Amino acid sequence: MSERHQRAADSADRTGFERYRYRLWTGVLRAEPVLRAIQALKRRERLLTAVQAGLGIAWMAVFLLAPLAYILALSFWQRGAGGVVVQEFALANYQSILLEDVQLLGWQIGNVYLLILWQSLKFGFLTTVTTLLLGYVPGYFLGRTQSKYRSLLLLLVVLPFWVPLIIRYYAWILVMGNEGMVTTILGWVGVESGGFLYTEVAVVTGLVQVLLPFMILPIYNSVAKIDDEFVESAKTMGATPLRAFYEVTLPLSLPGISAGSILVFILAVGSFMAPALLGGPANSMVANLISQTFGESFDWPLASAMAIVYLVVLFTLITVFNRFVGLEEVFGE
Amino acid sequence: MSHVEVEHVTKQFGDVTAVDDVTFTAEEGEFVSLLGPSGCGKTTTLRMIAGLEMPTEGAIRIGGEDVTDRPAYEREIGMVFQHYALFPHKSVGENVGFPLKMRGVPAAERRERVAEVLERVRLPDVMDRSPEELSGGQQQRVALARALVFEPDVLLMDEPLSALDRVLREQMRVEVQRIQREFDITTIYVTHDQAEAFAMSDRVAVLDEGHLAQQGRPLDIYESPQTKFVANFIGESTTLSGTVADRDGKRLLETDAGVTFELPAAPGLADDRMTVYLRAEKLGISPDSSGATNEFPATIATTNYLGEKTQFFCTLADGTELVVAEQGFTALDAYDAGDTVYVTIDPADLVVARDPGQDESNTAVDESVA
Ligand SMILES: Nc1ncnc2c1ncn2[C@@H]1O[C@H](COP(=O)(O)OP(=O)(O)OP(=O)(O)O)[C@@H](O)[C@H]1O
Ligand SMILES: [Mg+2]
Repeated sequence: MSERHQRAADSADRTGFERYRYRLWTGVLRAEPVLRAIQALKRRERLLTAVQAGLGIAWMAVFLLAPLAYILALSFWQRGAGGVVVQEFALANYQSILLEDVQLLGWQIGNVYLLILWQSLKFGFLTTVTTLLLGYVPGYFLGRTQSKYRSLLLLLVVLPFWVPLIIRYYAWILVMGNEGMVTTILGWVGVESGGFLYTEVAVVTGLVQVLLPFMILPIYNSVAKIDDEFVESAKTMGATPLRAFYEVTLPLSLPGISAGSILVFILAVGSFMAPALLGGPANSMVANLISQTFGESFDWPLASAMAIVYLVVLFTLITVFNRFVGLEEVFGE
Repeated sequence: MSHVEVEHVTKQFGDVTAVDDVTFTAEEGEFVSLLGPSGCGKTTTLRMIAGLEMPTEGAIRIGGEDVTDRPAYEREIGMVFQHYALFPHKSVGENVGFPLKMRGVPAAERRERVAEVLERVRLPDVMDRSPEELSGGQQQRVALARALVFEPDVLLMDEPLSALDRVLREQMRVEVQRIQREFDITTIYVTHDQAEAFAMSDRVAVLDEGHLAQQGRPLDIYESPQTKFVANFIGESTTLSGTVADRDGKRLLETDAGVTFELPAAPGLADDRMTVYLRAEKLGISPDSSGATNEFPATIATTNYLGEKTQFFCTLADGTELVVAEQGFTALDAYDAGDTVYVTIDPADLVVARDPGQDESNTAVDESVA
């Protein structure tokens, strides 16, 4: 007997009360005022969307663009006595950070700003390359696996985000420190080291462990979108699995690679906590320098100029990258 | 020895048996279709021939060589996928040249051979375009060119026309067939479209829930279906079962639906249970009785005017449904729902087979009523 008949028979067995309740509810839901209210809500939907989008744009305008405009203006003003801002247009700040050796907190080593900017870009580059090398395989695996544990594994990738950043860096101090895990283990195999803390290695490895998910997730996303048919058709045409990867999967996952690289690069270059906690004085990055200039030297105009130069450099780098890879491809679709 | 031999092949995915003990062959240069409804295991069978899926049991031979355990990239197979699987990051020329590149053919020769094969599929001057810029039909040709350029042993196609609209599909049918003949390549073609399979194939293998129901020329499949499934899947037909009786020197089939048929000089003993398949387009319909043999009354439930043919959905006295189809029918006004009509069939057109089983025919009746 068909399922339909079975269901009809079931409903005949319903108690009188259930039938009454059913009729009551349909009656209520189909009543004129209820229907009209639903209709009105539906019509408002577009209005709601507009309001939501407008809120987002307004938020950006008030809290991002406006301060940015203020910083831009500040960068052309001057620091007066006792840290007050003198609203007097001049290029002196830019001149000093780009062309002059700056004296800051006792450093007198050439153009500190440019040195530190260069160091930040170098750290950003090292972090990006390392996360790419470490992140591609997990991203690829997550994108291709049919395992029912895939969502669990994805959860594990983002799990570290639940731990506050500062705790993760402190944990890294325990790993890299004088008495830390790495030193201890190296000691067992006979390699003596005084720990890696307050070095370049500590800053970059710290950044890598924190930023790895930002590389894994975009790669996972773009690998998952590659249709099996592409890889399979490559195989039927004579490509070994390795060749098929090189010819098909890798180029098709390029959008994920560039999205991940851009994200990690921007976050790494702008990082503040990693150099502050894991690096020594020689491992400072732009964010630390700007923060010191703002907070300790009270030279807001100079700090603003530093911020603007930093933004321009980063923006230029990304635009050049865009030329080579095509950002539309990365963020499109 | 056939060129492609699929022998007792079974494929299980966990608890699901997708393909169950399937055996069929394709001769050198032959066009064989795998035909069957959705989920019957066509794609799985094709993928096993390609080496993209390993059979749980059974063997596959190509050109006499056992390839069962060889991976796809070591079989010489050209495959056209349902959505073509043209690489979006490579130009048309690079796509078509891909199999040659994998075989170490130098770039200059590659370009030459790609141009030649594109010419042969009638798609010149697209070498440097991106496949995404091409129309569906053109992509189809590129996919074919890519599957043929390295002169593989076998061409496999999985519903390659299903992504095209109807008119283009029918044009491409002819075109695929022309290309297949011209390259003279053994082809195994998967489709769920009976017309497509019949129009293109030398032989058709009909699959039913993972089993091979029948393999034969389209004519044989249509005129002498060996199972009820084949009779019902290929075209429209009505199945009536009954008992064979000899009366007045004639061999009669007294069906359970109450209609008696005079059988042609058919096999089967008296008291045997037999089944007749009534092809919709072989049935005649008339408002009056003519007293001919194999004539029986029915009541019209609905008429369906389709232009080139008209379908009459009728019921017999016991409620069994019956489909009659008439070609180029114009006298529609003479037939209304509820009218009693007389349906006839030439004894020669009766497809008679052993009754597949009492239980099965009962469920079939239930389904058609529900
Ligand atoms: N990888 C797989 N894992 C589990 N089950 C599968 C797999 N591939 C196919 N099946 C099952 O095997 C059966 C046959 O599938 P197959 O794709 O071969 O059918 P088909 O005849 O090609 O159908 P369609 O016309 O819909 O493409 C189906 O029941 C399907 O669910
Ligand atoms: Mg299929």
